[in-house]
Amino acid sequence: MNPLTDLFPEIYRYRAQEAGRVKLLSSLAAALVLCAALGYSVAKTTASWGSYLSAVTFLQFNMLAFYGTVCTARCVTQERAERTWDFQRLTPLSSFKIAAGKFLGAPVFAWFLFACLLPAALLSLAFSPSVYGDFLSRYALGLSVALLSMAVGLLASAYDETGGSGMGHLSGALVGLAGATTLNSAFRYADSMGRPLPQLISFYGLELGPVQSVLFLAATFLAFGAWAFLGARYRIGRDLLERKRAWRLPAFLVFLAWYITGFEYSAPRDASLPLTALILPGLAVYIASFLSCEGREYWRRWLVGENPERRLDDTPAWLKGVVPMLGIAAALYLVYGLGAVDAVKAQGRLYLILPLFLLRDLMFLQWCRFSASRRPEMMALAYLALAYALPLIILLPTKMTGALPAFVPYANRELGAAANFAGPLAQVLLMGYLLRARIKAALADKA
Amino acid sequence: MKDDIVTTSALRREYGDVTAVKDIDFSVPRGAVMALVGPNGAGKSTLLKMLSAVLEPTRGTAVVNGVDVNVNPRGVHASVGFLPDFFGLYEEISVAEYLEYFARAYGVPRGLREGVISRTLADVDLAGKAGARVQALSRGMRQRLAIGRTLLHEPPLLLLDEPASGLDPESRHDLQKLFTRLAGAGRTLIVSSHILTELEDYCTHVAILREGNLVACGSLAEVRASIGRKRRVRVRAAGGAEGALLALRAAGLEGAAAEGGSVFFDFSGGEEELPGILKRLLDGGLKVLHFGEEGGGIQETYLASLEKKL
Repeated sequence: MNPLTDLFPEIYRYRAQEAGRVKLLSSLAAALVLCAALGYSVAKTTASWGSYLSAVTFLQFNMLAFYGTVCTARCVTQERAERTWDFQRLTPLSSFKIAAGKFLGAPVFAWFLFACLLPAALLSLAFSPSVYGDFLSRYALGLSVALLSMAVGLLASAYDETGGSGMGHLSGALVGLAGATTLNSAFRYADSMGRPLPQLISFYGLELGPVQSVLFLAATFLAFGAWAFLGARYRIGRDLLERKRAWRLPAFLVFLAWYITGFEYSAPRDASLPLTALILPGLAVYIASFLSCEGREYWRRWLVGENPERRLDDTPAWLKGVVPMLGIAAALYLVYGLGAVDAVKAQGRLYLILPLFLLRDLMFLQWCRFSASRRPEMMALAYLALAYALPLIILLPTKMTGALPAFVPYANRELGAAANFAGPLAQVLLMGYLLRARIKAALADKA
Repeated sequence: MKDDIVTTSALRREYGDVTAVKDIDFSVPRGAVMALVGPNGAGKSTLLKMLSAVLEPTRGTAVVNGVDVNVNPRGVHASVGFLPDFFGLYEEISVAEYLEYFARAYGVPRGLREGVISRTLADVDLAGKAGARVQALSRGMRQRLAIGRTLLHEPPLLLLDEPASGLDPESRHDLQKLFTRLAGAGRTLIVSSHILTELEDYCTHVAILREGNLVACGSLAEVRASIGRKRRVRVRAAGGAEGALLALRAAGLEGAAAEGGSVFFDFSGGEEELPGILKRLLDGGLKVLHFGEEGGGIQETYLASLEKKL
């Protein structure tokens, strides 16, 4: 353990903090009693080692996914609330070492409980080698989902600026619940592989077999877990005043679009064009932009920055998000929009309309950040909700659907392309003009 | 200057519409112990945070131990030990574990770690508390433990924000002894505090901040001179004030005046002139019982600075 704790001192601290002898011994005893009770109840019912393995892994991984996530989701939040964060920031530990130390160290007790239950699972494998397939798929899926869930917990904690308020603590439980739900769905999916009609995965036209489908799913969870970890590391690095890298958010968006397109490619639909590959990365840009909190000060420093390389890395998150979104939209249009049948050709315009609305909304968000509002993100959210809801409330009952494309992301088949684009484009130009004026005023303010 | 450990240039920090630190230029010589004084909201904490590179300046720069805070903030962290005004400690671990954790974080080699921790515990007078839980420590001990953490990587510069705040007189005295020891060991200290009289014993320099502006900065004598404050000297002699008054006037100090049993005079000359005056009094046959400056310390200088217009 020593080289690991030397490399990641956080693990040393969490072990000293969480793993007292009494706590460990009592949990070990509780785990033994639990395994025995489970064994007894299985023996009295199905009397199968497969059922025993299912019960043990259910307990083991749900505990890891939920409790482990609660631990990672409070690690940075707690440091900020208890004012120990500044001390950590001053150590030479890099953002990677801090993030990895917290990721591995914060759930140290959850890992201990996991290890306590491991012999019971191995016992079922030893007595009934026929369950090894189940064993491997459950461990592959269980570990990958638990790691994903804990990484998302760490991400939520890194971005939590509420100073350990109730909402901050709740996020851990919510992410943990989502992790446990994903875990149990993944287990159900793995169980379905043994049935006559398994739900196999098709990705970019590649038909995967039962084993490959489970492995693909596990690799997916690990990949998204790695992205979540990188996101947390990025936010921690911002606190350490480390240099940021401009490519991370665009790379994630491209990966997300590529991943979703893989499924959409395999399930072509004649009645509509696949838009999920555009909508989900767009949602990710929204979330990243709202969490980034780049206000007046940030812009001033960014605009007057002298080092061009650093300026590129410090580009505000919404700009870093919108630019690749335009590229993704163009690529999707080329793949799906150009060759679309007439019935859905008008829908192809959404590949341009959606990024325009995204750009408008994020410029408005930035405009709010230049205002005197103390909560510009909430202000932006409230006005944007109104901007989408009001046109629907007014135009739909009055049957003025011809005006809808001007206010909501909707392509009207009866209107020409120019009429569909005119509304969102005009709003983007107007918002751009207003934002430019705000930026100029803010810069002139303290010059 | 080559031997300045801190140099700032037009250092500025804004929080929205509020400017906490306004284009400050100052420097701190290596080995100095600087008192950073000023009322609440003067910008002391913001300045210390910028110097320790935990807060980015809005404009301007600071070079700490040869490293620019804007260019390499992580490099600055290696040169400073920073104690913020409000801080927390990891409560559930022992004092030794706390220091062990930070020793690992600062990359102290495994073979040296034990020695570094023992030395630090001795430095901050916590050698007897190594096994105690952090949550069981008194406030003064917690403060010393936090200072111990700042010493682990042997930084040449210590930035301490209100270290004596909320401590009882005994703990403050212990802290004062610790600072004197650290200063004696050649470290540069910048200490912000409200308890000005306690700073006098070990501070060599003073910087006065008000509303984000640097009112004065330098050695105590330089600051006193810059705010135009004269020194007030008190003389007490055997046989009452009358004899002393006559002797002083005879020595050319016409402004001398008796107050109670003593005589006071304002003095604006150099440090080396005072012994000359004392010699003249003694040569004139006066039996001097007391001859010394009254109220020329940091507190009086600071109070006098409040009268100075920004």
